[in-house]
Amino acid sequence: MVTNSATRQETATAPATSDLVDAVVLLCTPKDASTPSAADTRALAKSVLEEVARETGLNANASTVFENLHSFSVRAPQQFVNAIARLDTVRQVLPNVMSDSAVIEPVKRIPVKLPKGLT
Amino acid sequence: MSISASLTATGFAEVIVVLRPATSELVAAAGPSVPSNVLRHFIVSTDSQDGALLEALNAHGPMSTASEAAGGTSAASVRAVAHPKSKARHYPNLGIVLGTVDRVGLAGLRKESAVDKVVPAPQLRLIKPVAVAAATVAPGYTWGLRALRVDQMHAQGLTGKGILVGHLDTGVDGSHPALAGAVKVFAEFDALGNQVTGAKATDSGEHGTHTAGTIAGQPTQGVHFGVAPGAKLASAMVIEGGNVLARILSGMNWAVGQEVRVLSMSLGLPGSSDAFLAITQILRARGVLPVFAVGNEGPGTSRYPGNYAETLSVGAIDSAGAVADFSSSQRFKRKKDPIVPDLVGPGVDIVSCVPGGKYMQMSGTSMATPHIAGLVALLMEAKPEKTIHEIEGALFKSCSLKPGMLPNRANRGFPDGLIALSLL
Repeated sequence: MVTNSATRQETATAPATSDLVDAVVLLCTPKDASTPSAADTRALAKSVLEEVARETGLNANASTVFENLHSFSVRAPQQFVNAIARLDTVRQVLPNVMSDSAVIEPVKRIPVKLPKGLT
Repeated sequence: MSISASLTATGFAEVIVVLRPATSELVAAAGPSVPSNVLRHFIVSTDSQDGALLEALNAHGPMSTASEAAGGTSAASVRAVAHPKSKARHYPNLGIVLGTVDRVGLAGLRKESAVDKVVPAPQLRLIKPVAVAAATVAPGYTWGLRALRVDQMHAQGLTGKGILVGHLDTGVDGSHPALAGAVKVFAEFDALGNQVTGAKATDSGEHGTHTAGTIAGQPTQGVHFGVAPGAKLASAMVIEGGNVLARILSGMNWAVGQEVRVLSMSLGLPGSSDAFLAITQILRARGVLPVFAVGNEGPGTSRYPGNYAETLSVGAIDSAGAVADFSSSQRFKRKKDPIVPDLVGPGVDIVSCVPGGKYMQMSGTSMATPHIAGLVALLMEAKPEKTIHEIEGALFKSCSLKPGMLPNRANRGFPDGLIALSLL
């Protein structure tokens, strides 16, 4: 069962996959510093995608809204993503795939034998 | 990390200066000293990686005779490398100079005719060691749990019952006997952050099962290694592959949706970036305490988001109370909480479970972080009415610096679970 609060949207008019970029979009928080609701985030993400679609004549291939974190991911042509970054309602656009790994590898690993006969 | 990002975060940057070929040949012929017109732009900072390493070396005192007799590097020779008389290290055969600059120095270097270009110095990474022979473990509480006084908190009946801990990692082996019933919900995500339907609680490596065991592992064959064995986990696989931002954000988004009150993340990216800053602020605003690892690259380094002022960042100590050499620490150019980590936890030779019904000792700040997240769960069980700021504040106030611990390495020091409980 999918319990994730993220929601997914796809469009039928996507360009070739090789022309697409994946990005994460962080939306601006309200000026009154309140925490945006999930509905606010969904509405703002939808508005951003629609505004950029009107401006560029392009569409996002896919997007996923992180409604608890006021952000969303998007797969779209570079021109589309560039247009997102120019909007006043957008705080930051980040590449989805990073050059470094987030894994913090242990510096030492030793197999362990637990004592026998105890419960 | 870019030079610009480093200057913004810490006020200085470690750089490699590539000299112009003609200059380089002249300098090589002149010997190992750096040309004075280049040298004058560098600074000496105790907060740089070199400076922090030197401070850590000095804190250790002279190296043992055994180390020297065995062919180890003497303290004197290490210091000569770590802190040359010059403000910068010159590699005449390569035609480069390595050192630390501030904004003024960077601008000056870029104007020098002898300088071809200035690039960020790469951060050194540890190489994973190979596995060694199995260790045996005595029954009872592990050293980390005893040091945090978790054994005495358990004796008071605190086990983390009723607390849901967010756990984002390589996944978790939900079938491990030590984690029976511990994983309440599990998720994994595709590259754009969409939740994969029907995902089973599995681990893409062994890291996540180990950290999960430290949070909520059941006592096994007389060995107590789980800090909060009564707590439940909302666990997600977000770092399979390790470098997809949307997966990590989606995991955080999902964990908030599960209504966790503490989020344990033994993951982070090297350097400094505000990519997760707004997200971390939102976590706190939603009542989730972010407990993140600071990194394993030693003094003068750290990883984000663990190095934000908004996170509870965790470094590592060993069973003797010494900050582990690998444990990252760094001073930032900011008024609020300039030193990371916030505190240190047990992070050397930590016993916990790994996939396949097995057990393993691991060392790292990844191992210290779930100790602190588990401790937070015990405090939240005891005082459910307290806010995350009150819980964090009590934990901070309970900290003390053990003999030999430097504030620049351990910040507030090591927490005491019983004292934190008494402060709430």
